[in-house]
Amino acid sequence: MEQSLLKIQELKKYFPIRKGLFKKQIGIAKVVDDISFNIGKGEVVGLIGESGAGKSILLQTIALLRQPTEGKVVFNGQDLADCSKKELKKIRKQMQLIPQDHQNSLHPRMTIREILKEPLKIHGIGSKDEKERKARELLELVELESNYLNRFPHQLSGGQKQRVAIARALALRPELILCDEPVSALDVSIQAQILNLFMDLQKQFGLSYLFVAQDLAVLRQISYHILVLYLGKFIEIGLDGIIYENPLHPYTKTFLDASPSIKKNIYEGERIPITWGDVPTPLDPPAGCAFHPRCNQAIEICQKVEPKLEKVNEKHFVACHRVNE
Amino acid sequence: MPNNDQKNLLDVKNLKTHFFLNNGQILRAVDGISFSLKKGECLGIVGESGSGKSVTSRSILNCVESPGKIVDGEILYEGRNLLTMSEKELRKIRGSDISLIFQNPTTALDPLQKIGDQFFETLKAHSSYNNTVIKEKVLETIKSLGFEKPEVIYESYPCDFSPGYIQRIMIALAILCKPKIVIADEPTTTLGVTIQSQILSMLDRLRTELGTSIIMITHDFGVIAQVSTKVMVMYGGQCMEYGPKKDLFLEPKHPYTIGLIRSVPLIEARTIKKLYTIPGSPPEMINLPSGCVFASRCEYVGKKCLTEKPPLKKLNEERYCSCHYPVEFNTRDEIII
Amino acid sequence: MNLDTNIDNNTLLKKDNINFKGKLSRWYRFLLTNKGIFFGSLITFIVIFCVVFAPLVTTYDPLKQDITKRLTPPMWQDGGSIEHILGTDSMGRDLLTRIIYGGRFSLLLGLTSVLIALMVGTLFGLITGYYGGFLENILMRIVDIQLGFPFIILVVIILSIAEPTFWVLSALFSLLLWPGYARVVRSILLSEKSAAYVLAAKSLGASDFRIIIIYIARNIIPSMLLMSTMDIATIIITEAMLGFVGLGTPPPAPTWGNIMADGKNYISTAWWVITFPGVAIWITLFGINLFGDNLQQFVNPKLRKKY
Repeated sequence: MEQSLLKIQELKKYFPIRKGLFKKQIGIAKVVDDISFNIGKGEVVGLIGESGAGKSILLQTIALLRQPTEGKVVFNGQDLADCSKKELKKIRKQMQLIPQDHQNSLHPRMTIREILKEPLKIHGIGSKDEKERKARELLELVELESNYLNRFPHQLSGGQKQRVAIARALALRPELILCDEPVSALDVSIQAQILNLFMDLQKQFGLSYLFVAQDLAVLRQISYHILVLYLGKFIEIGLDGIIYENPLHPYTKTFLDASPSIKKNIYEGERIPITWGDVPTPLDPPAGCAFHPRCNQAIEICQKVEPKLEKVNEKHFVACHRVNE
Repeated sequence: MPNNDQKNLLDVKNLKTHFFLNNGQILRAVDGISFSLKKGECLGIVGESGSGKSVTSRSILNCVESPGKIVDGEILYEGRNLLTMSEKELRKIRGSDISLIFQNPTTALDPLQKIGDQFFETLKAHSSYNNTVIKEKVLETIKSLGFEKPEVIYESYPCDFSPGYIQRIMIALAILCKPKIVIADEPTTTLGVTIQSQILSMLDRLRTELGTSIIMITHDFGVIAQVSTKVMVMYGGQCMEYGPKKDLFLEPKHPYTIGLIRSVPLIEARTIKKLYTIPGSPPEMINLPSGCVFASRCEYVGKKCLTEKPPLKKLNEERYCSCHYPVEFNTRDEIII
Repeated sequence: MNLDTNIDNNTLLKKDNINFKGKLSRWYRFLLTNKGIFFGSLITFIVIFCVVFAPLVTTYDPLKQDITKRLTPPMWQDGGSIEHILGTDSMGRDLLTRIIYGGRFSLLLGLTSVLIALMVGTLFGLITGYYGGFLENILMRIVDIQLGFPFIILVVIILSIAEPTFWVLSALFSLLLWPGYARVVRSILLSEKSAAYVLAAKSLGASDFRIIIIYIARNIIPSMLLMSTMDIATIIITEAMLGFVGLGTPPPAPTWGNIMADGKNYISTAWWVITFPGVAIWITLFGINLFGDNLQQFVNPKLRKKY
């Protein structure tokens, strides 16, 4: 990651927990806690975590839809905290978020035409005819026919809605797209189409993605660099596919194991992957390593001391006490 | 269907469920489907959305909503036809003999009632135990699925848990009356892989330890690979291919089956490369073509496919395929690198 | 096979062209195909027409008394005449004329109060819902207090202090109604504010103002439309009730409540004086409610696809 497009430094997003009539603050939920990473130009970085790990909040904080509690978001060398409103609007053109919940990401009372023209209207780009032409172009990019322009979102299937959401994100020719679980809850056959579309567009425009998923098999198809998020913190970072070849954290191993695999199930006999438990709530995180209640290799130290993200080699970082054994 | 020595628990023969729309059109959601289920088997019904999987599951319980209607066929449960039964007898079977697990766990439980009370009412309606025994049985069932503190779950409300956790509780609810068949309608679609594997292993334990038969409805061949013993592939309301899981995975014959298997993302992949995709999108169910329903998306389409509907041919004892030109495809060479 | 897909595309395109003809023709088709809204709007239209063009529909003065003709029965009864189609009241005033002018008062009152309530309520709802925090707490408590206050007592207090003129009444009704609007606007806003499409719009760089006007208003307006048609109906019947118990605009002003209050003294000898205003209220409410109920089908794109 030499020429970095996005640089996240010690980003934190805390939410106060309030209770009672006077909304007294009784605690802090550390949803995103001390996160740093870079995304280079034209790079695809995969972010994996279960629901409740803080993935969506992290993405929204990076996209400046939420004010970070602490830390820096540097985009193209510009610290977003120092930017004026005008500059921010410009940066928004270059960084787009595709929100989770594709069923709901298009306004139900707008036609596809209106939806695709929205970004151009917001930034006052082009005349009326140009906007229309651009909307058609965008649809073409995501392989939909132009007669979809007059339809309402509810007349589209899940995959088609996701295509429109992608087209909208592309309208301003961004450099970075933050994709929040763009393929979960889609049929597998549709999921494959959307993944391929993401890859085509990436090549065509040299885009960078921060691609969130809950399945390592999905990320395998699109990115070499994987960040593993657990309860607001990275517990393993692996570049260049190292996560798949040599996972070190027990959690990552669980993840790899949980992905359905035709090879393991059909050719190597029946198997039932062993995983248990849920992500704990950030309102009441476990002491020590956040993963220890679910870890089958936990020892005493794991319950008391929180492991730090440590360098294993140039491409691999892990936060686990037992990594050196 | 094969007639082995062991008797079939459920026999569905030529099931047809059609929807009669306002404008006089007929939507053939399920059009002539047959399958059978033995004790301790898990049948996976696979297909894209709109292929009629969910309607099939509803038809089995004979609870298709208007304007849908079961127009033909037989559903034999232990030799008795569910379609000719009275509503009273059916109610006895639903829930106690055959139970359902839904796709969306958060809406399946009443948010204003304690989880335990909902279990309690269900068991009470289907049994004649007294109240203390019922409570004991409920706790026992919850515990049998590996939950650590059944009492805590009993006293909690659905909103206290995550959707993934609720879905596991739903499985406990589904097996409360010791059903012989559990129908799981896309139970993991909205959940992540870790929770998915927990739910699948739970279902698998039901099957192997209690001998419960399972009908697993899904769009994901990856899920099928984990839990099923046999598979039916559905497209456009019709059965494309039917057979034991291993055979189907090793040597799929129907182009649609092959397409679905190939579009599953592989964790073992070495490099980033494009996934195989089935071109086009699922058919409009109202205007199904006269020939093979899959013809317009098929790579191997021939002249015959456009004019003549392929019959469900028997390939061997247990395998059926409805294709004019079955394909020789070796999954091992093509997919596993 | 190629041929097949071509045909398919063409039919699709045609379908879209019809959709594209514009909103007006969609309204038109909707009116013709939905019986409920057809009759609802027909009735409402007739009522509004009569009320607006009252001097053309009837030539009498609603206040002009003629003692010689008091309590003339309707034209089809013995003693009735074609001059007074629905007969006259105790002062010899033409009943039909008074009912029509009474309707003018009721409808105008309903419309004015709802408009005021709508504007105030929407503004409050938007501010409190979007910005939240301290302001929201204060305003929503005001709403709660207001909603908890017994309606009748409030009316009696206010009307005993102030003369029940048109503007006092409309101020009273809008005071009663605005919390409802504020609440609905706020609740829709709260649920929409975190919707995925709002996130997407924010990420595109849309301003708060644009998000409220372009995105959220679209989901609020239909509900407001439905609520206000229903509220107009409520106001009409409440105003009649107030008039009937003597709390409304004082006689001789023609309001439906006043006419009925006058008629109740002669209920055994002249049934028509109290009956026809009742019928007028019933027809008007029926029309408005029928219209309002079926409007839902048009404003909701998911229910609308047939038109």
